[in-house]
Amino acid sequence: MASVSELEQPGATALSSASGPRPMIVVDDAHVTYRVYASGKRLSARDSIFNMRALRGGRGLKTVPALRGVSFTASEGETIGVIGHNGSGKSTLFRAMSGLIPPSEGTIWAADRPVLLGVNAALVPELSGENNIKLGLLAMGFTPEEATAHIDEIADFAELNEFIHHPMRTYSSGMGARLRFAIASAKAHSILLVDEALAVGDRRFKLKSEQRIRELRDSAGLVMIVSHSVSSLRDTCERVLWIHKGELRADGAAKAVIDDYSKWVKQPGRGAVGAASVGSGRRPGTSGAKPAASGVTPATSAAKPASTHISPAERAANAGVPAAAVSTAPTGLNVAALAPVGAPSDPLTFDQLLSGEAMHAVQTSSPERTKPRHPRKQPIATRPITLPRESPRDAARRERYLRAARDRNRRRIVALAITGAAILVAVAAGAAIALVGALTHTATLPAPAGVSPAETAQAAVRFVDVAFLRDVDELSLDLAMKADAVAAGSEAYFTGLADV
Amino acid sequence: MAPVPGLFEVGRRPPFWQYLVEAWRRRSFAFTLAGYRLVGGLLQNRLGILWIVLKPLFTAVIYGTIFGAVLSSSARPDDWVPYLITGVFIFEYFTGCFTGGSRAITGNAKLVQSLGFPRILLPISVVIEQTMRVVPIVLLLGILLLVFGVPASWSWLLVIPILAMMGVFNLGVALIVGRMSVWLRDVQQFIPTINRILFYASAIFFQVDVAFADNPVLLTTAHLVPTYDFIALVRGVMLVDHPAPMVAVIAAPMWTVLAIGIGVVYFWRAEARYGLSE
Repeated sequence: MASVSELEQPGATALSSASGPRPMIVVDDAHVTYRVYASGKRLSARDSIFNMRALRGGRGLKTVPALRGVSFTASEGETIGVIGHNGSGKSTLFRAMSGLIPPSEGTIWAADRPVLLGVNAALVPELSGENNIKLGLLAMGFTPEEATAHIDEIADFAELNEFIHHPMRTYSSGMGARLRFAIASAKAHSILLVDEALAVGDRRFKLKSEQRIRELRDSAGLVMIVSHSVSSLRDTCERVLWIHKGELRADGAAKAVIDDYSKWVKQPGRGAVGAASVGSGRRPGTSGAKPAASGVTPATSAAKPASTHISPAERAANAGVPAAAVSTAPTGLNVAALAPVGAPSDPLTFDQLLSGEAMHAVQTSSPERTKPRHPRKQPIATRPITLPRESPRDAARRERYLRAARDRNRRRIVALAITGAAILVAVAAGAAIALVGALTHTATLPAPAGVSPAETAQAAVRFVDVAFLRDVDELSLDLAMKADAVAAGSEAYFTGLADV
Repeated sequence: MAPVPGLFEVGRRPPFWQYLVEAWRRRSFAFTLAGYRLVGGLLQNRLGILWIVLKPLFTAVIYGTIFGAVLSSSARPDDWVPYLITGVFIFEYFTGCFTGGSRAITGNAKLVQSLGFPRILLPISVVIEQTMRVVPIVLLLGILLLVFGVPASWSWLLVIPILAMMGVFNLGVALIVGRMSVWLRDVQQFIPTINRILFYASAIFFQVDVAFADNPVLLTTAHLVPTYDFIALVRGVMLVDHPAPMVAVIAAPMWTVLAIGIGVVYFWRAEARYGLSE
């Protein structure tokens, strides 16, 4: 594992050997993919009811890439802000870092278990605030005595007064956030991940929690904060990461990155909500631990870079280094210069993107979306126009897609087989029960009473025929043949019995 | 190997033994959660804690009426009422753990996604909660048996180890079904059906030895149903003239070991992925 990361990140080893602040978290090319049961397209009411998939029991399984190869290193004593629009993958990144979600690819290393406190994370809504404090403390590893001792202190910090005895579901979002912040910050964690907590509390509590975050940081910790409140990040953080569509778009000094972000936010026609529906033709990997490739100084070093946002100018400056990746950029720039800046974004679906046919289209269209900032500053004539070749990133992405497709197919076949087997077993069980029932029946009664079970079996076969013939053609045929055989057998048996 | 010494990998399940040790260290979380859940769930009702005993009592009354008065059968024992209520009350323990276990992770998704603790504590807290519920039920059972003329004896105390064993078995089942329902939500739809099947297969309102007397294969199969084994053991120590069959005495501990062994390992193997559920 180490050899792989060293190969991929020549800067990482240099970083570790350098005497400086101890790295607390190393995120190495982390991918997170959610599996969501959804059709992924709009269905009419009729579709959703009469859909064959619904009959088969499958809501379509869709994989949604929420993080696509994020790498960075965070060190002791830092306070790092994370920005990005809604759904860009910030919270997913935090969940992955705290170990609540396993990365589907890549690895995350940490010096201590990072603790996440988020706004959306309710504890147990039915219980009172006080009980939630106790539960939270116990779950964090406090002993019962310690937990009991800390309850009052935490309740005081959260300033919930008499509401501390009310069920948590009755709390306002601000009150809930306060309580959660108070619980999570009760222990001096060495790594604390704060997800939007500061945005919810009122002004007074905000100041108080900022103060607490500074205290935590001073006690040799690492604090990372997700926030949409740019001003509060400017106050508390010295380094900011910008996550865009599941990728790390910038990593650098707070002021510079925030300025870039604010500028980008004001752009018309920027991408709306959504993590990673379309790939952006960026170079493979942006990371603080990769100074050679991008000119980004590792953020752990004393001199903070102004901004590590990869502008086209920088691409030109080190065009020789990541050759394969940069080859896409000039083409993109040309298109960007010609295309209207506010063009509708995301014209391609993820599937199209990865099918390979659309590769060319994406590579020419995506830089227009992700790099709409300085198209005119680039002297077009100096850019050599190269044919869009597949960057290693795109290749990896397509490889992943194909693998997922193969997996999906395999699962589908397995599910089909299991369904068939289950039906077979059910039919067999029904026949067996009918057989046993008839057996005990004929044992007690002299009259032949075995006709109805056989009829039941036949009816079952008919039902199977009707219900499944369209969907699992060959399977049900096979099944019907087998069930027929069973029915015939039982019939013969019963007529035999009747004869006796 | 970590890129920097001293770092460990996040999002990997811990080694099995370390996992169990960590879970043991935080056991008070499971107990506290179970207690709060029990009280919180009951306090919203006017009758509060009475519901713990009222529910199985109603069940027993309904089944007693239907199978005792309406549909009488030859497989019915003479001491019909004690026989029935013992079965119904003990079966309730299994049902509670089974159903609760299937929701242990999915029903606590927020808790799982916001705090890092060994997830095995959630099914454990479900079983603890159900065990807390079963205590008043067993006391009620003792009183009812006395009312219906079953003589009290020292063998009644054996109910405690039997129920403890059943609790371990229930935990195993809850762990298995807890993980399964995370990946296959359909399991939760299927659980009432399984409960029903087991209810009829556990010889709660008939005597399996009489009903299947002339069919040794069916009889042995019925004797091997785990819930029947535990009910038969309890009947054996609490009632007169209902000794547990030898098969049940052997099968019950075997089921327990099997369930808890498979359950813990199966649950632990997915430890890192429980946060991924929707």
